[in-house]
Amino acid sequence: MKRYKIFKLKWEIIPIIIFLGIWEIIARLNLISGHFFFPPFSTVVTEFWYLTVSGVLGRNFLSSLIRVLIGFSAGSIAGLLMGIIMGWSEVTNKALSPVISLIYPIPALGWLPLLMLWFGIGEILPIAIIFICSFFPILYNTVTGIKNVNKNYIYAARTLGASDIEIITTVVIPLALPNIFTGLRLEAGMAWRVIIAAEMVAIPTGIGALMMKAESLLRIDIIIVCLIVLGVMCLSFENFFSFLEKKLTNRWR
Amino acid sequence: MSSIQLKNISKYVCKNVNLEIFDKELLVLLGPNGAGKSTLLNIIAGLIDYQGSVFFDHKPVDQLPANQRKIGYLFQELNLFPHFDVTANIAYGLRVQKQSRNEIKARVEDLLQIMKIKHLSSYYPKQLSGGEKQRVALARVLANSPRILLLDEPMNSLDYQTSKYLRTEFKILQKKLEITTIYVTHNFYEADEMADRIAVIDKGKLEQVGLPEEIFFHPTKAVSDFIGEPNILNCDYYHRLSFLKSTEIKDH
Amino acid sequence: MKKFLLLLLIGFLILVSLGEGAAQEETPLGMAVEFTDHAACAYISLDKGWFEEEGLSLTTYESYETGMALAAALARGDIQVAYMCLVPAIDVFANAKVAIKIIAGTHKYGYGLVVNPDKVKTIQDLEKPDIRLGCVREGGAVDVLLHKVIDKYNLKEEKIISNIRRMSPPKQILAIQSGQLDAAFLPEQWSTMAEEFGFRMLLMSQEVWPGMQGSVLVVKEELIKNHPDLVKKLVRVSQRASNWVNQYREEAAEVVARQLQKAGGSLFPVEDADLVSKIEITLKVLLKSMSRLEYTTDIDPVVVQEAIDYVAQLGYIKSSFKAGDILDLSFIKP
Repeated sequence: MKRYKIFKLKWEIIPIIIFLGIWEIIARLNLISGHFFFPPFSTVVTEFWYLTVSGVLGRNFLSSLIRVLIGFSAGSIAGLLMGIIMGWSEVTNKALSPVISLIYPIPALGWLPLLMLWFGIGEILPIAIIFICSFFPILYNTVTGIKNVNKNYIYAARTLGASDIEIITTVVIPLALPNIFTGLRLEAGMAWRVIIAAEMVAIPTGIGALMMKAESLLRIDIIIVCLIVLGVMCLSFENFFSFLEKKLTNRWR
Repeated sequence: MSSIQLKNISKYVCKNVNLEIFDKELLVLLGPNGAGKSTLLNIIAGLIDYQGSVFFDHKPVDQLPANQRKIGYLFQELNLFPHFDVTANIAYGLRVQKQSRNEIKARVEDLLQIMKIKHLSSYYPKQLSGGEKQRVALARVLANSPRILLLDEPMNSLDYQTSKYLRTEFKILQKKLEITTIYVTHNFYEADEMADRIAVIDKGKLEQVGLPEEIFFHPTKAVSDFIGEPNILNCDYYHRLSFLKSTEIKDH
Repeated sequence: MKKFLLLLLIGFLILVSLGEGAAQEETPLGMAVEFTDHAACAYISLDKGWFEEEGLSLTTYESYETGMALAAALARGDIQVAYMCLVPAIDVFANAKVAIKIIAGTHKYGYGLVVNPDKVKTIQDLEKPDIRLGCVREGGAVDVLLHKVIDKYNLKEEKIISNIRRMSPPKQILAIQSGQLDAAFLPEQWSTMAEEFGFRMLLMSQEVWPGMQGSVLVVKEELIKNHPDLVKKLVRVSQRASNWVNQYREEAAEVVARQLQKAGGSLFPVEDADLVSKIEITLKVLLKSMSRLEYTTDIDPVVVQEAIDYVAQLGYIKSSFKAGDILDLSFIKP
């Protein structure tokens, strides 16, 4: 079994290596000439090393990471709580649903100008944007998840003597987890995309700001480093929730 | 254990249903699909609201919510919690009653033994066969020692052999535990086999209530339309109930 | 398997030929300038038809908000001639590795620090935490000047940097108008314009960096290789314009005002066009502004080297290089 896994991993890595090889060759031979300066992969790696050692990458990455963690946690928790209330209580759902359906489709970045005026340019701004971009989708997925729980399980729990709170915590939420995790997984990646955009527009620190600085200095190698970091973070966050979901729900799904 | 009184119950297809179920008896609620059988069960369990009154031991329970009525309800779809294994499913009722861990452990062991499903204790519902699920559901329902048992077409999805076996087992268990039971089915032969009394219901109306023989030999017009022509063979028969170590002979 | 390899080979060949093809295209004479009176020579030459007189036909003439935007366009290959600030030219040469040469200067100085006199009375006041300081993005000449100011007056870098609001000059003017900035580093004519809104000129580039090179005339190296005659003509026109600006200052201001107004409406991206059209660049402002520049095509290689070294020190380019690599002063008449 172990041998098979290693064998499989090799096959996943080989296309990546080929891709990097082609990149290196094309850039070195300057095949795409004249229009854009196209650094070879090796230059990107060197720049990555330099940025890490000098602490520039670490500092900016940490700024972005903290904002994402705070904003995403706050938004998810709020979305979950609100979602549970709205999923369970028909009255609350009917009251709030129309308003939420109006606000939900607004893209998170659309809030940027408004938030810039309300909060000015500080740490609150990116955190608020990520809060919004996490809150609504997770709220929506939680409500859906809870509503999709088969009513019969709730009846069964009731006849077994469970109170509403017990039913919510022991039956409804666990059964709604697949939907909830879908929301968390998607939004974890989304949070990174949003923070970059917010930092590009308004904030002086963070990966997005570093990218803007690199852009005005025409340092494409730095931009590519930032893009790679961004990609890795998106993937990691998404995979983390995927892993958590599997761990919590695989036994019975 | 309780007796049940239904007075002027109206909901959906049921109109002014009056019915008494005696303490410790197994009453079969017999009728075609859509007759209102499940509706009555849900009303007794307190899962839906209704017009009329329900009494347990002549005490009104209309204001009592479903989770306080001490009912054991075996749903037609069983509704085993998919995210709990067999042990956790059975223990659920005890958990929410805030029993101690040791008490819960002992009781679950007991039930696993009685239902002969000890080997399934860490399986999940998705891994069980129909008959196994049936037994787990029954164990779960009995865990809290309910005073009333409601079973909604419990043998519906099972094959003939399993069904017959479980029916026999259940009948014995019910007599042993002395729980007032309402058993819903649309199958007359099943009704005949299980019931102390049968209540025939059609289109929301109670057509006839009585002993199986009464229903069988003296059905009302409506009832006879439903149950059709019986096949009667006069004979003796001998039935061995091995673990009770006694024999019972019935003859017609 | 064979078919796949064949396809791969064909794909590879197509890529190579595309690259070759792009290099062999005819290079039209596209010109870019910054949207400031730094490019007065260019605007005047255009207005007076001096380019055409010399037989230079411009296929495009674009104005850019900032030196960095111009530098990016230069890197992309849209332009062959540019009047741009020295620092972005250094960036484009060192970072984007675009083969350009500086063939002449256009002016010296032309940058300033303007402040709200109520909030900022001295340079040190810029360190105060509630001060909002406007500046263009990293890599611009103004940004480099800001760092020079920090060095010269021993200011605390982190404090200053944390006060900076990065925006383009037109946005800064609007921000000043609406009271959202307390101070701003701006290139001319924008810095003089800020004075119209109650701001005071606290520092000029002359006081911070003696001999500071403002903008330069830049061409792509292949233009020098393929059409050295055109390049000579470009320098001649610039020199003529430079002399004329110094002789007929008022007329020059009028022409520049007109050209800037014209350029502002149509050549900016949509959101900024609206901003820019709201700002009126008056004759009075331009006269005052242009008096703060020193228009000359002379360029001092020592100053250029100073700039290169400083920019390398700031980390904007990876390493310093010899000024001689980027300069080609053979076309300026001796």
